[in-house]
Amino acid sequence: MSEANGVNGNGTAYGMPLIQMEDVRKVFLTEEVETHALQNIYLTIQEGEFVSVAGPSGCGKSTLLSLLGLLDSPTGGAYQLDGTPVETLSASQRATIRNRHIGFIFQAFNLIGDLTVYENVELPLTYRGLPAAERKEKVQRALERVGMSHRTGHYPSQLSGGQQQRVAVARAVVGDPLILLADEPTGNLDSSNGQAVMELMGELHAEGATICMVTHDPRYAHFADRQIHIFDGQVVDSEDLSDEVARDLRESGYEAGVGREE
Amino acid sequence: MGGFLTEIRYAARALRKSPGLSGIAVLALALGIGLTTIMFSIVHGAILKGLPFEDAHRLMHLERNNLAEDIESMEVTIHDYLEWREQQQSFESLAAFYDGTINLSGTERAERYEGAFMTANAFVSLGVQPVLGRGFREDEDEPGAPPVLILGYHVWQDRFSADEDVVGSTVQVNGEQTTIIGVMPEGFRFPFLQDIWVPLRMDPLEIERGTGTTLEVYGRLRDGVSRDQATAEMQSIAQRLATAYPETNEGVGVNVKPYAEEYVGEEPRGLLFTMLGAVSLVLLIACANVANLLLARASTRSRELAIRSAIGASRLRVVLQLLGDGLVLSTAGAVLGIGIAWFGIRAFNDAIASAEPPFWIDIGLQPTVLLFVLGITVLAGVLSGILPAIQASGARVNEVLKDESWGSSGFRVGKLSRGLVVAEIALSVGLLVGAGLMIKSVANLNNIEYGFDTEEIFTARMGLFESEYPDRESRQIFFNEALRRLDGLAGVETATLATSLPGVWSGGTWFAVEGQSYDRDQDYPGANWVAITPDYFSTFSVDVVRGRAFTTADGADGMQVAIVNESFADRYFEGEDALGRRIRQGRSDSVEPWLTIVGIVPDMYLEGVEDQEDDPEGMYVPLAQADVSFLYMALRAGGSPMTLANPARDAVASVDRDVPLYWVQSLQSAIDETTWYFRVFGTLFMIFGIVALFLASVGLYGVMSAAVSNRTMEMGIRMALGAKARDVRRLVLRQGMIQIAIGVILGVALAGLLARGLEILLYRVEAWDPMTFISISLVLTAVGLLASYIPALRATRVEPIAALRYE
Repeated sequence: MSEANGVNGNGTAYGMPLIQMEDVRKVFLTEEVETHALQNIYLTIQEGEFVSVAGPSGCGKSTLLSLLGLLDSPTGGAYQLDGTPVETLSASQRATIRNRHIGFIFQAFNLIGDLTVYENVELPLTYRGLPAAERKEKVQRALERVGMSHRTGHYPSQLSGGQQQRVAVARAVVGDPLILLADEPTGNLDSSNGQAVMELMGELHAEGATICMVTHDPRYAHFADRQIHIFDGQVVDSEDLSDEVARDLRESGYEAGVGREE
Repeated sequence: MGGFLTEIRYAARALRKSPGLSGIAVLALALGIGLTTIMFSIVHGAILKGLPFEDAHRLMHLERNNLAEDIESMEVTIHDYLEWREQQQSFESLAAFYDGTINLSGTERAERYEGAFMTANAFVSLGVQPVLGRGFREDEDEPGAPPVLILGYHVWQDRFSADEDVVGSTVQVNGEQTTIIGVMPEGFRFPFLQDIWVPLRMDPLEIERGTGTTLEVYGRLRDGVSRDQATAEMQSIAQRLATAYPETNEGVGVNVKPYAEEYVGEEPRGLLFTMLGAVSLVLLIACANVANLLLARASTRSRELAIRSAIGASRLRVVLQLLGDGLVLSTAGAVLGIGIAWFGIRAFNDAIASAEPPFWIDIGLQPTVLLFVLGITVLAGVLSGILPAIQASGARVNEVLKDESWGSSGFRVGKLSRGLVVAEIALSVGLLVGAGLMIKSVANLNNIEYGFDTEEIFTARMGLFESEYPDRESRQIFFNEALRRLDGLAGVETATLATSLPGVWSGGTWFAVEGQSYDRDQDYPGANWVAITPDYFSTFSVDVVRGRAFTTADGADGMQVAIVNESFADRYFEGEDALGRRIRQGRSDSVEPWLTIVGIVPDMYLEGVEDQEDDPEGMYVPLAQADVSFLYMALRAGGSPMTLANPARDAVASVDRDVPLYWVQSLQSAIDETTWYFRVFGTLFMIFGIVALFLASVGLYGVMSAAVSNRTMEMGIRMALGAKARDVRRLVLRQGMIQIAIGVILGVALAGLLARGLEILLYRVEAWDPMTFISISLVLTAVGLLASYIPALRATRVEPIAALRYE
């Protein structure tokens, strides 16, 4: 088990635990073979915290993110989101929580090709049943926040990868979620676009967003306040990067990383 | 070519690997090809093939018209025919005939055959020679020439046991000793469906110009003469005749048209081509289905195709490979389709057998039809394969090989598929509205309230010839005696003789109402006219509404009387009592006696149920007060009417062994015979509609399913963003509904066009029948929604995590 309290990017103290997982496990049953994707997971994420989850391919980090995002249910254990137990909710209740409290950013962007930039960003608000005027205002704000307000009528196929991911970020934040879950958000991007997206994530965090990001790129992992390492379905350590030194280290590592790449 | 064959082999192998998809595609194409083949074989047999004579397309039918009097076609009088024959240069020769039944007796039991009275040059014009004996000699159609006869092949086979010595022997033909001079080849039944031919021996000198039995005229165009040139020449002859004989020929023109068109006229031709067009829509739906299945398959195969491209396959090669898929499927469909067509054509031939189509109409899987099948098979294969081929061959290889195109979930073939489904729905609505109109039409036919018995009535016709029954009295004696014996038969409840049968047809007459004045002959009204014996109404279980039925007291010497039907009474004696009023047959020059109306009876479809122009007014006169030679009998049987066939023949033969019965059938089948084409083509069209509905719903389901599975990723994204089951369901259904709505709107427009072409097949149904249009649109919408709902339900079961392929 690992727990961490600290300060967010603005140096303010974290609030109440937003996410609390206790002894969570996930077992996949395929053709009578049990695969323990996750086990013995104890995880707390405070409001305003930026946590990165790292680990080798297939270690279970994406499974953890899908449990966190209520895209999947744990096989056992307890999971409280914002103080509410969510591990036994119905599909419909989970959909409501995803819609209201969780924002997703995917590696493959996952924009809907037949919808414009505006419509893609508007989609979560449509499911929430907000009136059109309110939706419009929020969508505009979200697109401005990611610098894509000039591309509202474009289709995803007309955008570069970096632009698509920024739209995806706008879609994730448009509903003012409690937490942003990002799964390898730079995985499909070149380094400059990856940097831009990470800067955007950094800004969101600085504005108070709680973020949990899966990545195996060490440059971007250091963007987070805290890094969780998963190996073979278990959390092996949690490294607090929230102090000043660590932040300096993170920034210098990030800079160095970019320099090496180029 | 070798490369293409290789692609065909690959295609066959690949299609065998997905038997479900291939099976559906083959079934769809088999239905499309099968039905199209049935319809084409009908069009080919009835219209395209023509008469089985050399250069048959040069054989023309000639008739008169009088456009000034709105008469589009009239048969030709003997005088005009002779003038035409004399003056014309456009035809090798002009021949003429009239058809009628011919009574053959003198060897064994008398029998009546369909026959034709032909000019001596009749067979020369056709270029057909007898297989036995000779044709008519030039002088044999002259008045007073010794009577001769040519037998049809199957009469020779059946009645004369194919005896080669039959030529030179004599038989009684319509009461006249006649020498058999020849036997025509098998299958020859010119001009229509004839079995016996005798020379037309009309004496123009004995007939007043403009009167007499009218003739059908035909001739073969000379080499190098066109139909238009012949028409122009005939018109100028007609003008000369009009000048010479203004009284009979003023305003009379000439129509010249290909012979077969006289018997399969413009309306039926239009109908057959409309039906061929309609069934082509079924084939198109099938092709759209297969194209959609192949599109779905091509999108899952895009990686394989990209690999092929990457290792050097040209775009053409990829196109050929996918076209190969379509051709393999359509060939398999054609094999099954020919089987379907074989059964369908057999059923169609059985269904029309009672209608006795002209002899040259031969509907079957002939070489031309098989060639057509080959053509549509290739066409269907190309149509099915071309869209998927172009679509898939145009994919950007690099992107496909890199697997994902930037993570946006656009399914590129979606629009094309959806377009095809819209087309399918539109075509189906068109066909189904047609089918719906047919169903209503056939239901109307089946639910006719005749107002008289049709089921237990036996009917047959008999005729007397002047040579043996030269006067009215002798004919009356025969009919009275025949009726007495028929009435006395075991199993006969009541019997009647009449000039026509209710529900089938009747003759008509001009008449005058006493007390009315008519300025011109054209102002005299007309009505159906039937001569009947006293038990006519009781035989058909019809009660006299007012007044009385005829009795034996209404004899030739008694008061001249008539019975009219209610429509007649309402129309000509509106608000008055028709009973006791008098009417007279004929127009201003009539010498007929005034008839006192003694009874009013219900309407009995005297004009025939087939006639949709409401013209039901009718009058009846006692047979004893009329003079007729040909009569129907109607016998009410206690049970099955056809058990009376042999006893009735024997009863009439016992009065005169040379008077045979013909057109022997129950009243119901006599009525059904007049409406066969409503039923046969109605049924055919219903089959088209149902197959179209089946194919369209399979198509819609297939496309919606494919769309859902191709959009699994999108469903996952939406659910991750908070979409609930009902949101996803609504999304899928909405897409289905948009397609259905567009398809239905287009389909209604198409149906409007189709319905106009089908108008002549509609029995008491408007081509724009709103109920049919609305209900078919609703049915198709419901079926379409169901076809979308199942994939929609499946979409809601998508686990977002599975959809996003998270791990």
